[in-house]
Amino acid sequence: MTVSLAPETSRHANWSAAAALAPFLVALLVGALAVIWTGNSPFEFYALLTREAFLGVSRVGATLTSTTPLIFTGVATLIAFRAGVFNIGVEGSFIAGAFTAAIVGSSLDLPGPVQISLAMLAASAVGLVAGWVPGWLKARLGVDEVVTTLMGNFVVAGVVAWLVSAYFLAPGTGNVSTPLVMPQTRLPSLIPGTQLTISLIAALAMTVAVHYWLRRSLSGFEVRMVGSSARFAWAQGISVPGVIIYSMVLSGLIGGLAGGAFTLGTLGRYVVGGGANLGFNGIAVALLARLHPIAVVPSALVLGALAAAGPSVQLFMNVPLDVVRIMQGTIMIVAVIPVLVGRWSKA
Amino acid sequence: MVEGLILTSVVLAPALVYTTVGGYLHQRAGVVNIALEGLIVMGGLTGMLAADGLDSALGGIGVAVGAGALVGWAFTLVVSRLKGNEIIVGLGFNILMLGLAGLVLVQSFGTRASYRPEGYQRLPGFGLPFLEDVPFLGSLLARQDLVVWGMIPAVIAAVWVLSRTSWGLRLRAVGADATSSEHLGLSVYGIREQVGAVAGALSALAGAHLSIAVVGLFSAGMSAGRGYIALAAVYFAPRRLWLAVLAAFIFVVVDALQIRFQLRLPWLPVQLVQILPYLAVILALTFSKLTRKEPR
Repeated sequence: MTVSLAPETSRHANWSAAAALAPFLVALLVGALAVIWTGNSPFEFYALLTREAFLGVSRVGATLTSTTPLIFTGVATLIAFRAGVFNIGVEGSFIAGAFTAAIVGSSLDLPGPVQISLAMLAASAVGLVAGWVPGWLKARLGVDEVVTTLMGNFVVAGVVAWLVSAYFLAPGTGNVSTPLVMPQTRLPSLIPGTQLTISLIAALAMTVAVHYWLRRSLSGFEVRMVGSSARFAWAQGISVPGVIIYSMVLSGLIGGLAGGAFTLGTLGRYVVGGGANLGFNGIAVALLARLHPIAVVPSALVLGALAAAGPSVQLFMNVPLDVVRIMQGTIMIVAVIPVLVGRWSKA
Repeated sequence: MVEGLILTSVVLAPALVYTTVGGYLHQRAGVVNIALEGLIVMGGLTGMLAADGLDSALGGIGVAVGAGALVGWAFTLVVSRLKGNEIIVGLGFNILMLGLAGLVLVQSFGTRASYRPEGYQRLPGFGLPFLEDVPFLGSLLARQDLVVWGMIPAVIAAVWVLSRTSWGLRLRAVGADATSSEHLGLSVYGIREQVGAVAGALSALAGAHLSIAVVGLFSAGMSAGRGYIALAAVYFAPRRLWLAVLAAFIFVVVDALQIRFQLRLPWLPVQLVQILPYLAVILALTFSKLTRKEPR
């Protein structure tokens, strides 16, 4: 894959706000058309969506709860993309991490902080492996990472689904899921009465850390360098394979962390198919943020609000949840069309 | 039991084989078509709607093929002329198609689950006269529909077009070296878009056959990753169409095995059988790089 998605640094400084918002605006428009077709008013729809996403402590809590994993997976995707590696596999890392945290969280009975640390460590470790394999295959053998990560997602999901149903099935639940984690391993709540946990703080801190790492550190510079021109970076003496593996490992690690935090914070167990494509949606988040770490936060908030408010809008206005999906797809497509968002990818 | 396996394979084959041919052609023209999955979904739904509306399965398939050509062309337009990244646009396209399919299901039929029209005219089945005398296969293949039989001429035609026609030559040239083709006066975008229309038509045909003839209903999840499996088959043999089709057919047989034996052998890890195509293509790509002769 020779196409790079990394923004051109010269252009990066002065891209216009309109171009950055284009995917979102087009998605709003497409969403409005879909809503009109359902016989509802798009203004009413978006007003209700905003109310359901942001009005009241419990609604804000729900929105931020949906936002948190998207910040993680958005940043995970972004790191690989910035290195010019097309990692579609954050979903796989997320699933592996979520499952592993559920197993560690439910099978041991240690003091809370110890077990939480163990579970998160294990989650990030399996996520890391899920990123390392395609990274190594690309860097050392030249195997196309798009294929390995895209197909790898199905492999990870299948293996985990099999493990759950064969060895870790919780008795007496309707869906295929692991037992609940120990109560002391649930992440501490941030707003009482909501599902929002301290993982939001962790996500924000990590985003800032990644921002400064990309900007200020040598390894961050190398990642950007390889992303903008691998040949030039190579000529400068940068180990391109090393950077590719490095970025994939980091991307997978954060993806696994996202899954772990999702299990311990939100669901309390691993449910087969319960991740709602959070790893995959990180791609849309990263693209909407134009691969800028800080911009991932508002971008994840937009998609998080859609995810959190979508179900209640479906309930109150009879607009199916599929409208949200249509908007997500539109965002992804429009975000990579240069004439609409400015030239920020080059062949 | 073996008869059942062969029958299931034959019935399920078109859904994957046509899509594989479409994805292969597009790949030879230089486009990685991730949108195959969404095109199958689209074809399945439009085909079913049209079959119900026209009261004709054949009409439904025709409409699906036309719509597939249009949507496949539009997808390619975005990744060629509009220079959108083919991977991201493809993934986004698939999400969009799933969303649209769900919306249409709810809006038109008030159902979230599946749409099962009653009483449209089914695809007529027929057998080939000379096959009826074959002792074992004859009875199995006695009544298959047009789309099943059409697989054989379709694959042969695709191979012939690729290797023997000037359009096929241009297609391959555009895929092999877009810049040189441009300099020679070929319209790179134009050819890729034409192939995109063909790939879209074939995938939609696959989807329409799946919903109209195989299952008899449409649900948004019915494609079950067949677009991605077809892509895996293409990556299996990026330079030999018949090999890619063979890989697709092996995947079909594995799928049929899994369906056939699920109840009979409850210990069979279904989830692991289902990932075999994906695992196989990762391993195949890895081994092809490992055994590569030229130095890196």
